[in-house]
Amino acid sequence: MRKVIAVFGLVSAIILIYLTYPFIALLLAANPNIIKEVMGIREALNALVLSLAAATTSTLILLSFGTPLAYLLARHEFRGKGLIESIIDLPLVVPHAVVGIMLLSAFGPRTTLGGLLKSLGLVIADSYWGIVAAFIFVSAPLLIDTVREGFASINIYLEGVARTLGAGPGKTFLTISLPLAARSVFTGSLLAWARAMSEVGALLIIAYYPKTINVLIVEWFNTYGLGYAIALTLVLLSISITTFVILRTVLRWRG
Amino acid sequence: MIKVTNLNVRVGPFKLKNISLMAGSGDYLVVLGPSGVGKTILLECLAGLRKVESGKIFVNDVDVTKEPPERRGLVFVPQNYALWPHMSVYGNIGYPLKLRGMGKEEIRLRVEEIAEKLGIADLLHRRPSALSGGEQQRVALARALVTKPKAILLDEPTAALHPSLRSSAWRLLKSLHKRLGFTAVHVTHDVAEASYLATKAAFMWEGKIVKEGALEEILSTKEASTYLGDTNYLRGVVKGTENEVMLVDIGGKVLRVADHNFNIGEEITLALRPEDIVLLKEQPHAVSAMNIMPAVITGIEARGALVLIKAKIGKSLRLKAYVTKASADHLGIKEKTKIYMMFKASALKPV
Repeated sequence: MRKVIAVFGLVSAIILIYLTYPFIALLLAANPNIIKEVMGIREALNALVLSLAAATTSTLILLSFGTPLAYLLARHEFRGKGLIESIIDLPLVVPHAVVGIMLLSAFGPRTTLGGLLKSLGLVIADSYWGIVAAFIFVSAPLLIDTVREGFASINIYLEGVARTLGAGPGKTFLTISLPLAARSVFTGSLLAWARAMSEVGALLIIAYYPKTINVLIVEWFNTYGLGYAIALTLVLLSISITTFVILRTVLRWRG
Repeated sequence: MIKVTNLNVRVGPFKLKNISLMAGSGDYLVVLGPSGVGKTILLECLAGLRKVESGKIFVNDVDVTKEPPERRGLVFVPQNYALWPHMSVYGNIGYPLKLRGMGKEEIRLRVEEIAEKLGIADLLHRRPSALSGGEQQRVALARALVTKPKAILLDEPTAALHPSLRSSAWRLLKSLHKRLGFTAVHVTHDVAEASYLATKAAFMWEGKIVKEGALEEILSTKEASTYLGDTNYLRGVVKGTENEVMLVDIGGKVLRVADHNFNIGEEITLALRPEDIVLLKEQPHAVSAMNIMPAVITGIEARGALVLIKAKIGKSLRLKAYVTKASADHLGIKEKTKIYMMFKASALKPV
């Protein structure tokens, strides 16, 4: 048994080093002068704020539409359920650039639906809402699957007893199911937000403008080289990791 | 009052078949049966948590078969009690009152009143996770009873408790039923629980109700014998003591029991093993056994090397006894034969 643990430990160490080393390499390669310079550039700050705002908006929209869907999937059996579950997980396997092309084909300005949305004042290509649309698409599986598992793990009688005590289905959902699944809802939102913050492939196709921080990193890498891209990456990474750590800590504390 | 007529339910390959039951107002109906016969499914159907294929469920003569759970007035208490972990004990008990639009003060009074009755007044600000099994059971009962429902549906309410706590849980249920007078449908696999609590009973077997009526009647069925063996369960009332022997009235017949830890007037269930009964052709004299009574044989069944003799004593007492085939032949046992049954006071064990 000890031999097996030693071998497993060695294998685990290799993968952990592989995952950690790029972060260390990034820190080692950073030039403090360039970081200082980058933090004073207005374009970079605007891109960062845009990324944060769009990721938050997409997560809130996903929460509103994804939570009821997650509940239905967790609690009801119906024809076509397997198909719906596959559709939800599809974005996980679609290449990011393809997501951009798909969204452009569906909601681009030259499509019927895109034209209709435009007449309502909602332009998807190269707009804030284009960024949000891409974020929703790529992060939907993470939120819906996590929340669905949260609802599914609630003992069915916790809801059933509330019903027999006089609560209708809506009241039961709001007062029993949702609070009991709060931890999963929070985790799902966190994962969806983090996934949105990391997206770039789809944005390069559907919403290069206005520039999000990830698009700007790609642009600066191509224009000014690795030094500026690293500086910008470090700013984004520190904000993402700090937010992630704070939220995880809050989650643990509440748990 | 709950009335079920010809209820059919399908759950995967399992079926509840043609269930008919009745619990009158104030009845404590116990549905007894082994695990896996559909007792919980039956309760879920009554509660409205499961759809039925056909049949009707009436509550106080109103057909509620198609009504959602919140409109039936039947409160379900599952085996795990299903206390909401995100609410305090107070929050759990006050929840149904809040649903009814009561004010904070009225809720406080009602919660405190029922908590007092159940002896949980000092637990109101605790979370369910900080309660013992017995305390959780009391909270679940308080939550179920606080709105004075038309009936409560109890699914094996003592199964999750440590065996040493079960008898006190039975006493609690019995005294609550006596004080509050609610109607209950209680399912259990435990014959001792059924015999202690039931004012009416039904035996369930393979998705069917095989018999409904008094406990003694349901225990005399072939299916109950298959499940419980042939042990006799006798319910009676303590009449007094005589030379440190307790006198128990069972359907008009007084039996002598070697136990005196019960109060006069207390209801008691006694178990009597069929191998502890001796059959005699004539009334014996000068024997140590204190219970000797004339009986009429009503049935004879083979039990491997033994023969099971069913006999009737007086109008309502029925007993089952084992004898060997040789003894049965020697006594010339046939149906309607008159015999004497004899057993010691120590053979009767309070359940």
